[in-house]
Amino acid sequence: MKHFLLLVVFVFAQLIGQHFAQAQTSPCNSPNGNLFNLEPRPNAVVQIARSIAVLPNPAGNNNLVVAVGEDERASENLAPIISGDAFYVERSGSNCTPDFEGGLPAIDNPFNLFVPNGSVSVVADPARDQFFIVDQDFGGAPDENGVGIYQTTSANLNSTSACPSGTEFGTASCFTTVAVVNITGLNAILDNPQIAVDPRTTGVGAGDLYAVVTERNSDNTSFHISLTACTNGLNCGNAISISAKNEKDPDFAWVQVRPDGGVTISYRNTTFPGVNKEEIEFVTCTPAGAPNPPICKSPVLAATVKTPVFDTFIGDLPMTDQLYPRHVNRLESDGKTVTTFMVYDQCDVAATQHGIGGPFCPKTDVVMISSTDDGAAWSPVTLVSSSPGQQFFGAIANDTSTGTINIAYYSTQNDFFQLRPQVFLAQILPGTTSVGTPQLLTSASADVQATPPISFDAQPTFFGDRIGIAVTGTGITGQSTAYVSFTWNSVAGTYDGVSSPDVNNHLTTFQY
Amino acid sequence: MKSLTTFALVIAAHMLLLTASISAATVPCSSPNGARFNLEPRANALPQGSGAVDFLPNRLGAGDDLIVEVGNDSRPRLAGLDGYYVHRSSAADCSVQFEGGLPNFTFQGNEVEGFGGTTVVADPARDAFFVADARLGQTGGVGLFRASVSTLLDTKACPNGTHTAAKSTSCWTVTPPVLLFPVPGAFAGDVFSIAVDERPTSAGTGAGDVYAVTEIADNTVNNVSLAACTNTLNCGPAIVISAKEAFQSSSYVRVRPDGVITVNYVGGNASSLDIKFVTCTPAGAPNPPVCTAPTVVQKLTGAAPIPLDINLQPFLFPKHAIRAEAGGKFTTFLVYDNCQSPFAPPDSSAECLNAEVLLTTSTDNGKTWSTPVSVDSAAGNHLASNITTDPVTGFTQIAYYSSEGDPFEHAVQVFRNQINPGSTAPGAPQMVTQTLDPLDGTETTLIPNISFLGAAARGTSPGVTSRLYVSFTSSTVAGTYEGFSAPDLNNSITQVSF
Repeated sequence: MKHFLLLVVFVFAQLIGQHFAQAQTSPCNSPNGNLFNLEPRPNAVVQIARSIAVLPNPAGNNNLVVAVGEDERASENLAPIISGDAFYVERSGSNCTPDFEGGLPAIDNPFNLFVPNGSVSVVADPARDQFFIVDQDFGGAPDENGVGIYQTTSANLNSTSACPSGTEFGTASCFTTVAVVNITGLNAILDNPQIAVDPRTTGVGAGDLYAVVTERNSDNTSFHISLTACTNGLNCGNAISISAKNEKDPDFAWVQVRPDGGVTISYRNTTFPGVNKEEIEFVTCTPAGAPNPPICKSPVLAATVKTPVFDTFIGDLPMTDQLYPRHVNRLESDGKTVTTFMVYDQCDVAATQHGIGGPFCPKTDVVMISSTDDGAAWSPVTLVSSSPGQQFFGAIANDTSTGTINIAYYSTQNDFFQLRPQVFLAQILPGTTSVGTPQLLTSASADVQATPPISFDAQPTFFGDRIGIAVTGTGITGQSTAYVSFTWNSVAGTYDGVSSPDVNNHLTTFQY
Repeated sequence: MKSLTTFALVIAAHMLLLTASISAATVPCSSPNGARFNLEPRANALPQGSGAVDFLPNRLGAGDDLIVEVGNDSRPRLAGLDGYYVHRSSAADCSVQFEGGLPNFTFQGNEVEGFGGTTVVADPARDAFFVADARLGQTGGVGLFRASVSTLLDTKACPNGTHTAAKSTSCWTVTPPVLLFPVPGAFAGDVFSIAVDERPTSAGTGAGDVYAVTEIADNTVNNVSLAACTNTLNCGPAIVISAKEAFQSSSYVRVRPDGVITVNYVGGNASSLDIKFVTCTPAGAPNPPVCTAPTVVQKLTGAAPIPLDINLQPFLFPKHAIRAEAGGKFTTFLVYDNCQSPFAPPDSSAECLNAEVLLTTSTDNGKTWSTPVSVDSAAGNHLASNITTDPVTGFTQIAYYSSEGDPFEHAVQVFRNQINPGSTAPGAPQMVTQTLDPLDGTETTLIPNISFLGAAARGTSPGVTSRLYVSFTSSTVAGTYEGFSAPDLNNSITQVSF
């Protein structure tokens, strides 16, 4: 018996060792992660990473990875993809290489034909084995704005007939159900839509989808945060405003659904003009069963940021940053307590004017706060990294299988000039609220100022404004994987046969 | 024997002094990234961009050169935005003892202020420096300043530290500055150049004269003009030296060792763009020289100065240097930035994928020119070329930025390429600064000529080591902002012995 146990331990150790050896040699873990699009290199144009979602994929004996981003191929003559709100899917293998990609299709509903218009984001629905993608849409005459929602199942994404391999131009068969919510007139500008799905299988609101978006008020100057509830089949109700009426400029809303179905929203409020202190507000809502809107409490103040990164340059980088508070909710081991973790970027000091140039933040940080009482009280602000240089574009994901919180961000800490970022990952271990030592995910660094020679009007600049993170796991140590989707330029394009930097969405992973 | 011993002791003493002064150097010129060449405190530092450099070798002592660098300076408290930076200490290093902004002065009763394009040349024979910049006022033009070495070494006229407007005035207006090429309003020329006839004053007609060239363009006139001034800035009328091209730009003037003035410029029309060359015979300033009709150096194809990146871009600003050969002959070397691979896709701005520095030579006073060759064929971008010939030894030095060490072809190092006496072929590229420097951070928007290097090579006698100074813009020395370190652009300098 003793020998048998030793044999089991030995075989298990070999398997674990093999598992890690594979991980180490995977393109996912190369110094630059891996290019996560299928664009040919001649005359390559910009792809900007925005968001990622992942589900276990028994059909492929792997994980099904869906990344979304802004893809400038849609702006080309004879565009190979139908819109710039693009998706990239890996359904076979585990080497961070997409099997197919494309642009989201327009949505033809009874009111209008809505065309994808940016701000694309994706979430997974593990309980129902499907994905939802959200973006901003623009409808033709009479000119209208809307929030587009696309639903697809893992089965569909695994189907080579519904979603053929390669670069797809028409994608209607890939997305089975669509909807447009928050349809507004041209003046009611929409911005920064975000969605979340209730992960439960039972209870009021189980499987419901919630969409938040910033919407301009009828005074054409102030804004509010709008919330819409949809059934899992995208039967959507009317939008409600969840921000306070006295707030003039709420924006950057982020929605999550707790394990008990409670809906939580964070957003920032500021005042114009100039760089002023900003407030992070937190709203909790009780589900009412979509399409009925949930019942929401008044916003509570989670934090006041006296030195925000409001549209300021990140150190000497030519990129600007925003206070975009993102949170996740972790169910603790007692089965009742929910800890909310929120990350956001802030300037360590007041932004300063640089001669006649725009304001810049000499030290940008990713910080974290947490709450264990539904957002009523929040912990002091904690630095995710105490390193020098610039840390920015903090993103957060909860590994529900283990309770590990993952925080990804860019950092320039290893560059003498504090200009070239690398991708880092910090974790908060189960049962704790303190941030551990960050891990370096990309040993190489990138140059945000090296851009391809082909550009289009209104395309995202440099490395965009965010990175994406998603986690899946089994609950067993070593079998969780954090996927980080980021913008990078280590893979050059060719232009008239000459190699020149190109900007691409990339993917890297971290197993733990 | 006693004399020999005394001589040996003197030599030994000099060697000791030289060693001591070198070891006491606080700001080495030849450190891996050169030296920051300004006195700006690091807190809330603002950008400086290099313009040009020149020096008088050993003028301060053995191995200790008097160095004057000029460039753009964003500090609002200087007398002007056209900065000057001077090394005059007894330590043979690249420390700066005083700096400031070139002062405003009056022209026909109205004040004119500097607004860029600053350049400098030294005049070893008369122990002076000349500085020029663009001027803005009711009348614009090119401001020309003269400062004698005695003034630059005078701690009352030019005290140590950062000069106020009063100190800038006392330092740079002992010889009253003049406004050349006066035009109503702001000066409209893009770049200009000055040169001095370095021959001893008694050497012949024009010796010691100062020449300035510029493009002049307004609603009625466009040409390249040349003005001649005496060494004490008694200037004559400008003359037109260009042909009647549709447009001109980027004029650059030098004076040959025999006093002949040589000018290159770019002229063209809608269908062609040419680098042109003019030679002029001195007539003794303020009389204008007598110039020949322009000849074509190169017809350019695809050499438009399109950017490599948002701010980093090669300029089509050809420059030449002249080497005296045996028998009263001369070899003219001309360098310019070229876009080897321009890329202009539909619906997108044109970019240069691959910039190169080209060299062409003439041995018949500019009548014919060799086929241009690249001075650095390594992958990456090579740009911001400048050229200088040491008149004593005949070594020619080409300085430029190269991104060849950066996989993103973006951050740059200073490189040089040496042409030996008797040869017209460029040598092997040699790295001058070690750190790949990303120049175009957010500060860059404040510096209009980030892609400009200054270069000056001089020696004291044949067989003795000469020195090359390269002025360049660098961000290797950070500023501090609210207590945090962040990149800051500085005018910098590096020295190479050859």
